[in-house]
Amino acid sequence: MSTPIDQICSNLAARIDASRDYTVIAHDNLYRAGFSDSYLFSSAFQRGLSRKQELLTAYREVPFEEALNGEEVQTPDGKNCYQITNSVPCRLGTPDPDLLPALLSEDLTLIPGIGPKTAANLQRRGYRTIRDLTWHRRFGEEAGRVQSRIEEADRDDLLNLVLSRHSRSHRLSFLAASPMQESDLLFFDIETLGFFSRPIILFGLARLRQDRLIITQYLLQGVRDEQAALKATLNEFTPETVLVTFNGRSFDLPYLQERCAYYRLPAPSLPQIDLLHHSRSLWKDRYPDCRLGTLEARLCGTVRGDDLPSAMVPEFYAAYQQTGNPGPLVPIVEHNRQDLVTTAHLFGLVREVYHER
Amino acid sequence: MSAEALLAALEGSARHRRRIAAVRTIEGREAAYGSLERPLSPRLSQMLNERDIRLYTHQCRAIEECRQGGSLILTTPTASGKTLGFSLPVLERLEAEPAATALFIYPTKALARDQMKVLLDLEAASGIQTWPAVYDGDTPQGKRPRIRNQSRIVITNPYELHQVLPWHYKWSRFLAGLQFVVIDEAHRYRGVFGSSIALLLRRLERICRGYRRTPQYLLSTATLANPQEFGELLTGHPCRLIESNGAPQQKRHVVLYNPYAPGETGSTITAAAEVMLAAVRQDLQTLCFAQSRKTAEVIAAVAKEYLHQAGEGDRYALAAYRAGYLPSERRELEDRLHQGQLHGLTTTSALEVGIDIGSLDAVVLCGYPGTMIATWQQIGRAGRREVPSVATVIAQQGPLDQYYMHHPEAFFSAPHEQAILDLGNPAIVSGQLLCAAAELPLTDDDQDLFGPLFTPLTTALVRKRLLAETGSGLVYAGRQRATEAVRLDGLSGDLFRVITGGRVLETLDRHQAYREAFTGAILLHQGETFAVTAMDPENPDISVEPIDVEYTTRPLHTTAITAGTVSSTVTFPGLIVETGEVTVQENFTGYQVRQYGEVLATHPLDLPPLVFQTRGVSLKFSKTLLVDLAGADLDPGGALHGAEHALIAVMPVHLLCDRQDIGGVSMVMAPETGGPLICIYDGCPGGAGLTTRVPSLLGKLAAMAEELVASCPCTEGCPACIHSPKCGNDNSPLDKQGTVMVLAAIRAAFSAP
Repeated sequence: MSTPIDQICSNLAARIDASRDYTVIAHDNLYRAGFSDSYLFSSAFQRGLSRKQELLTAYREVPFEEALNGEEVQTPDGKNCYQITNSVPCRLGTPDPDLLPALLSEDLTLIPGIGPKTAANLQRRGYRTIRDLTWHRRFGEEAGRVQSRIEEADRDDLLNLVLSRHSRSHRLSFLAASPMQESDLLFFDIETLGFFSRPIILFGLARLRQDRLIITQYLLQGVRDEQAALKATLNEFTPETVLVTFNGRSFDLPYLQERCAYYRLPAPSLPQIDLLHHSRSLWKDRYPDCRLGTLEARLCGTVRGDDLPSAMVPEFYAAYQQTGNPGPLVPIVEHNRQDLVTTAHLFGLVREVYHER
Repeated sequence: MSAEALLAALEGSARHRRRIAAVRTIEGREAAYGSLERPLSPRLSQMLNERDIRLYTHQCRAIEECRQGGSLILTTPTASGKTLGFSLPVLERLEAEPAATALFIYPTKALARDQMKVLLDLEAASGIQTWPAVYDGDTPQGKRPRIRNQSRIVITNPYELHQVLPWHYKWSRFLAGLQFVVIDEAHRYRGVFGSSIALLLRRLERICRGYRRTPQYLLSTATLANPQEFGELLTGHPCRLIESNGAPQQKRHVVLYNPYAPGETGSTITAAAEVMLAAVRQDLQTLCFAQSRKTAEVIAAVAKEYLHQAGEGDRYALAAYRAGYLPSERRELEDRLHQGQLHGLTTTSALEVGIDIGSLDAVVLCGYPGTMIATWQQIGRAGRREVPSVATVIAQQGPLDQYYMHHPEAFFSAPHEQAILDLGNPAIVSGQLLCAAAELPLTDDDQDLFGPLFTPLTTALVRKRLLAETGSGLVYAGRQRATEAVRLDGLSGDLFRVITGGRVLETLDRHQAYREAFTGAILLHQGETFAVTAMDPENPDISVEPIDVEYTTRPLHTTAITAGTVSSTVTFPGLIVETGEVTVQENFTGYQVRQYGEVLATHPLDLPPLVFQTRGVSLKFSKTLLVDLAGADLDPGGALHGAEHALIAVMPVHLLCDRQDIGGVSMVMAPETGGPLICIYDGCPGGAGLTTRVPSLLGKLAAMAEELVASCPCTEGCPACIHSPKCGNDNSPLDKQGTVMVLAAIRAAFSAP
């Protein structure tokens, strides 16, 4: 007979295993979604379930290495974690280094006290640039200060200047946050076992190197690898790094910070460009929603084959943990890689649009 | 207007006089002021001077103890200046150390908001900036970051703390400075809920350890029999006890009033209305406490009707206090009370201690509230500084109410109850361990916080893949967010949602659902009645519809128990008392429809048996008891059954619990011993630590139960002695004389040399 402790833990496990962070919507009827955090149409859910089954069959007896095509690497403190490296061609347009200073010097609203209305009035009266305004009786002093900050051209300070007067989704915020060196861009996306307070199982990072996107993924072979993968990820961050994410401001970065705090590691604080904010301000009215998949299909023309829904990542990972069969990990890694590629392309598109205006 | 005039009026009426069981006068007391070894800071001293406040002895002791750095527990009554007692030392520290912070935990949002006003006022008056803020489910998202980054005093409730702890990294500034955890109304954290709170505090402390901090705990509770033990169990730290009250107190008269006195045919409700009116007619502002919202409303309606009949409908204003009041309604009520426009108010305990409606001249308690703590807190609502007050306790028909009416001296000298926490319930500890593991990896260093269950539970949880072993410790790896999967009320296992009109009314665990919400049941929710239209053991949704009926339903069930591991055995002549694990199987066979105590109909129920493991105490009698009972021509089955009911009925006198928290079963020939046996067990899975205490109390419990049954004027047993409202066997068989004999046998066994 089982002891009370076993019985209690079994009940607890049964209940927790049965719960999901998303709602499955019957008959794909969106109007039944209500206000739940995350939802999944039942057709996609059913496809996901059968996909999982197919993978478990297809990868039975296939070794981990062969399925995932990566290698164990050692972190500086001697722990192992599994790294997968790929590279794909990726050509983004060349940014104009003079655009930002030009736009800044023409933006009179950077001066405290000047809103769009006042700016228009001033322009009508011949004040075209901030430099012109340094002669203005009322705004001259402030304009002088802003002008010298623009000439100083310290990237962090310019970003602060912009953010003190504009929203994060403003064109200038994007340009001011963009690094001088293309190689300092770090595209970042994580896969997790839920919405916060649970492990991150895959850390995806991508950098641009001579018209190629180099993708590095740290995959957990078990929860025990999380701290090593976290450290390996933090190692990729340099003081010059600018993170580029899609929805990272509310998900990936706070999640990363939470996990760092969890393992008592110093939390990173890096400049970040969240493409969700910019996509919304650019395309909100044009597309039904601004999910990454939607933008990818509309803007990049990519159609993913049988991708797995993000919401089902935890149960695919659980299937791997229960069976040791690497099959269910394959689409997780693929999905994350595709997200990184799309994020990079989207970055290029947003930058182009901001340049064309 | 005077309290004495009301007493004279009551005693002058033959009708009231017949029902008055006792009048006791509790003399008043002068204020006792204290002094401090080192004066408070100039700012705080000036604030007290400006307000003409002198500190009482207990406030001074609280300040001194806090300065020395330990934790403490204050047990002085309401309105004794407790809030100032622990706010002053907190402010003193926050003034001296600019990074210091304090967390105030209140059991409800309403109490937190009332406390907020006090702290804002102290901030303004002292000029010590603490940015006090309430942080709970009602705090807008937009205001939260600023509170986390700036406030030095945060006021919250346990439910919010439970949700906030996984986000501790956002609170690093606050937690790094955390010096005080203030827990007001701590006696509410008892039983299963309290045990969860004790472990929640361990989780908080574990996170604080990361900042190399151990906060001081400042507790306040109602008077308990075991304040220090309770404080230490709740916080994990020894607590200095401060119990001598220096606040002045006016003379107070307490009346015990029994509408069920022999020869009377009253009801508690009409008696409450009559006594309230008698007080109001003496121009005494009166508060009447009822045990349900409906009763509160009925009393107000009955009293208004009496006034109307007497042609005094316009002369006195009465109102009922509603549970779902809005702040504006509350203010209006407070204003009308302060201005004397409202003469009488009926309310449930929703009008909590700590919510300031000012003091009144008289209170009426409609029914013994079930604990001495609640009784004296409610009585304490009456009493202005200048004049004596009157409190009247109106008895209901149940055993404890009637016992106290027949033994007034027992009422006034009743022992304080023990507040029980059980940190050894694996059902509670397992859930809290998961939450802790989601906050920081669990390591062996955490064993001291979670006790001896740590290793066996974490081992089992790793096996179930809810925890993963890593180089940094055990990491939570479950599918659901741990704080969502684990509830503070300890209801784990499967949950049922009670739904009406698309709205979730409440959540029940399987046990509650079987007992209260089977198909056909009348379910009470906050004083409203609902009919259960569909309940299926396999479906987590229970459908109910509002219904206005007078009848109630009661499930019928049989109970079988299997003893597990024994943890303690005490042998007496003719009696062995054993505590340990028991497996309880309850078979729900049907239910009765009842109205005014009469059974209108009985219906069958088709539910699978409910099996759970818990802790219990078995009384194993020698077979000579059967011989004695048979020799006196008494029914052994009825005798043991009655004794079981009576023992359970008096348990709340010593242990803070409701008789619903305890279950029992009795057998004439138990399979294990072949002899008579009574088993009393904790009603919740895993146990609540209640029945574990029985061996040390059994002598007292048996003596009181015997006295209660023997002194009851009935002949065959009645709701005032051996009937139990919870009995699954319809209170049958019962043998009153036999009950007395069994209880006497227990008492005798205990007093034997």
